[in-house]
Amino acid sequence: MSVRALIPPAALGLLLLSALVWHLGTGAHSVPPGAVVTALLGGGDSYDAAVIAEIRLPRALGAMLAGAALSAAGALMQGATRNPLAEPGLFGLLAGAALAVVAGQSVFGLTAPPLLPVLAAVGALAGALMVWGVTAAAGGGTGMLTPVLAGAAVTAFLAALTTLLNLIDERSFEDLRVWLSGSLAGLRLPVVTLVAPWALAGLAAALVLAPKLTVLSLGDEAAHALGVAVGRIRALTLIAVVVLTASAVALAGPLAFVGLTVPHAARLIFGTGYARLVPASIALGAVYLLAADTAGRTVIAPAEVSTGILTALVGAPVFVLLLRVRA
Amino acid sequence: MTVLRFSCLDRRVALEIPARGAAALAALGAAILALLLASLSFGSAAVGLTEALSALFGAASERADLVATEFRLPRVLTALMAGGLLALSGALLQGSTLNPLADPALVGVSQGAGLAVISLTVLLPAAPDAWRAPAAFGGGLAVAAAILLITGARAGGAQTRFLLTGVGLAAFLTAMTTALLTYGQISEAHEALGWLAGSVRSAGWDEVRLCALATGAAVLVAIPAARPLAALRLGDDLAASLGHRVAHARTALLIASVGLAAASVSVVGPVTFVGLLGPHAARRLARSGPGLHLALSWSVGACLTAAADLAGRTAFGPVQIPAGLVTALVGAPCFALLMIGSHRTEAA
Amino acid sequence: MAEAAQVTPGRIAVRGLSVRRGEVRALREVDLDVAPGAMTALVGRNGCGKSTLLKTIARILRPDAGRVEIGGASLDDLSPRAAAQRMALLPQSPILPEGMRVRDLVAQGRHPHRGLVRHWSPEDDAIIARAMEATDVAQFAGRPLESLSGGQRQRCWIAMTLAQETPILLLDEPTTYLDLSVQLEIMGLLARLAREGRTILVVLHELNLAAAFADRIVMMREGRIDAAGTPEEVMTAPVLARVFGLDARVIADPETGRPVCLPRTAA
Repeated sequence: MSVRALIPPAALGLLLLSALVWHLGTGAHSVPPGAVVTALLGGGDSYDAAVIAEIRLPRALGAMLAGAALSAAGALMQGATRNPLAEPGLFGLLAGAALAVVAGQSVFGLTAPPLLPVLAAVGALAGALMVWGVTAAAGGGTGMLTPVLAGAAVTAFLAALTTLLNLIDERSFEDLRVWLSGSLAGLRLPVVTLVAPWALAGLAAALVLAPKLTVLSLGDEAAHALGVAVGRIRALTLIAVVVLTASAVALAGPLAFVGLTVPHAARLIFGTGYARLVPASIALGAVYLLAADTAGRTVIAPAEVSTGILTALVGAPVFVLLLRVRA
Repeated sequence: MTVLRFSCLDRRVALEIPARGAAALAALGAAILALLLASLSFGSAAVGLTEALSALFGAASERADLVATEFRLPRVLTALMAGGLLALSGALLQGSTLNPLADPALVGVSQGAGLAVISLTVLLPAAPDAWRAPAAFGGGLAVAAAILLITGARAGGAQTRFLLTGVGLAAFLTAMTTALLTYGQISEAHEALGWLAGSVRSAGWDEVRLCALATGAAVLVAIPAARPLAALRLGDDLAASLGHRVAHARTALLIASVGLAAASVSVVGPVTFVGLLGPHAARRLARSGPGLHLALSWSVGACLTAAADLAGRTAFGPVQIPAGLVTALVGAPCFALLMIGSHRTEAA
Repeated sequence: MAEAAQVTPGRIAVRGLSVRRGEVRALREVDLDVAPGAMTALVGRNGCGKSTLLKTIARILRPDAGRVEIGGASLDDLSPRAAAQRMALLPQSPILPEGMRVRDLVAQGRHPHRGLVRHWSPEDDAIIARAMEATDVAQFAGRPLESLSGGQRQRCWIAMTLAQETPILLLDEPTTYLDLSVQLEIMGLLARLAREGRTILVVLHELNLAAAFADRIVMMREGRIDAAGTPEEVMTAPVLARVFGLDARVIADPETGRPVCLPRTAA
């Protein structure tokens, strides 16, 4: 492999590391970068080390995993549907996951943490299948508009059910309202370790599927002729997307637009081939949420700006730009 | 087709209404009346139908009078008028974008109004309730202006882009609103959640007056809107060759549509899918010119919202389900069916 | 069995093939042997089943009855990848992926030869370079597809199918929407590829283009093969009247001797 080919991964790695150090050093008790690195390596001031290891590291890991998972999910969806607007939020997966978690808690009393990703996965799958079903029945698999409208309708329906449950059960609303807005606040290590295997499995699947998606972008017939089992790849992609979305939702709640913002940013730098785009999206997604979370904790410190607000604020202009360029 | 003709002043003022349309309009009028009486009568404190009727004319017992005219009458009137406004707004939006799936609650107008009110509640908790309506109106208008700026209000593919931009903005505004809810006190947040779901629960005579004002404005808007709506149906090129200023007409219709939706939202919160289903049901009831279509749409929207409110407060009583949730739960599947149906007719 | 041993990899054999598309019986028990190492053109009126036949051979449509053999192996027994190593397809309207560069597109042709373990090799690079040379698109290698003209794009797609290194190449109306001069250029390229030993099966709309370039012509009517043979054998006035409902004279091109169809236009 040539030296030039090593530059992008090295740059991404460096970027990720600096975002991590910045994230870990920021907070009510600020820690300079050098001390962060020392603490990470197991040395230095014991108070610093304790703050970082017990409070900030779980949150940082959660941000990285959630950002990587949502970005990979968005990239996979864009490849499998050939729709540049595809992402877990606009296509109904986040609304499904949120409803499943709220319903699980307030209707069925399922509050055990290990159930969280499972519930989210079931909901995300249901949301995705509803959108897909309506889109297919409306014959709009190829257009940009039909799936987005189907996603909006399904989201409206599922969100209405979520609101209904929240109105009936005020206590569950109180427990979940921060999570429902998409937030990393209060993330603890047990949840992270619980969700991490799901997220990592989904990310591995995304990397394996990536080259197939490039072939799929030539059209179903061409992909078929190139030896890709189109239906099977789509089904596997759906499963990977559901697992990725569910793990992100379990960690950070339904964060809108991340799956749209990051892959398109990565596309600008790394081109359209999914074999490069998916790993780049994973790395950039981790950086993106780390940076968003750090910024959210600094802008109006000591209060926090919810991560969901920041990702929406960045995501909406990206969406608009995409429309200007593509539609 | 059977046609009813009315004319006066040597037929200089003439009105032709297809019989089926007239029948539909009459039936809807009867439905509105029935819903009005039912809403006065049903509820946690039952009031007999005859008693409700006499309360309307100020001749009932004091208790019936209080329940029916002080609590329930303004509520049902608000629901009727707010729903009618939304349906009119939807009809204008569908007519100007030529997209049968356009709905003010789908393209972010309602969400913009919602975000404005929530921001007011959270950031300026001391602000008086009276500020809500103008805030909602401003929020809705701001979103519409943003969509128009982004899409450039041009014809052609811009209609698809209008819808896509709207859906994207709606998602953005919803995310912002949900996040803002986390900053308020839990009790305020819970109350705001109810308003965000679209509820006429707290409607009083002030709300009725606001709605009546907006409905009056709507009538003034609807009459001149009928002709450009008819022309736009023929396509931009033909409309232009018929002497219509297409871009102007489209922008004016969009602004009118947004204004009506914002007025409705400012009173009852974002009630979804009424703006979509009203015009569609009206089209099913009677194929008609745009004037009658607007009247039918208004009536269907009024019926839908009042019925949703009635169902929401009686179905699971004492728990009151906001009307907007009822319309969303019923409307979203209908929307999906419409998408599928319009594909079928295109394919055929 | 002795016959099977001699089967060349470029041979396509269709036996008793029937395909339904919705209510329509698009193919009715079609038998066809496509000559290896030659260009065969499939022609017929709209809806005669020519595209259906091509798509069924390409495994995009599933037959209701009958089978397709390529290189002596039944399609049913081949995995998608194994089939893609034997047979390439250029669909009628492939999707233009936004921002994809020519070289990246041609590289997709190597997909069926790659696995999880076997990755990129210098040999792959050489094959891609050869494919781009053969179709004369090497000078565009770094350009995005959407910046090219229709004919240049079509040559890029053909380069991709060449990079697939298959003995068989299927094309669905590769000349539609192109200028006449570009149509001739594409057909000339296909004829050259056939002379180099590839089996080419191409669906064509333009009868005279088929007669001028193809080694064999297969005419289809109502889901069946009506006539098959060299251009001289099948391009006759009676066949054209039967298959196309066309009142036409057939004359020989004074330079090439190939038949040319001249529809009667005089009243």
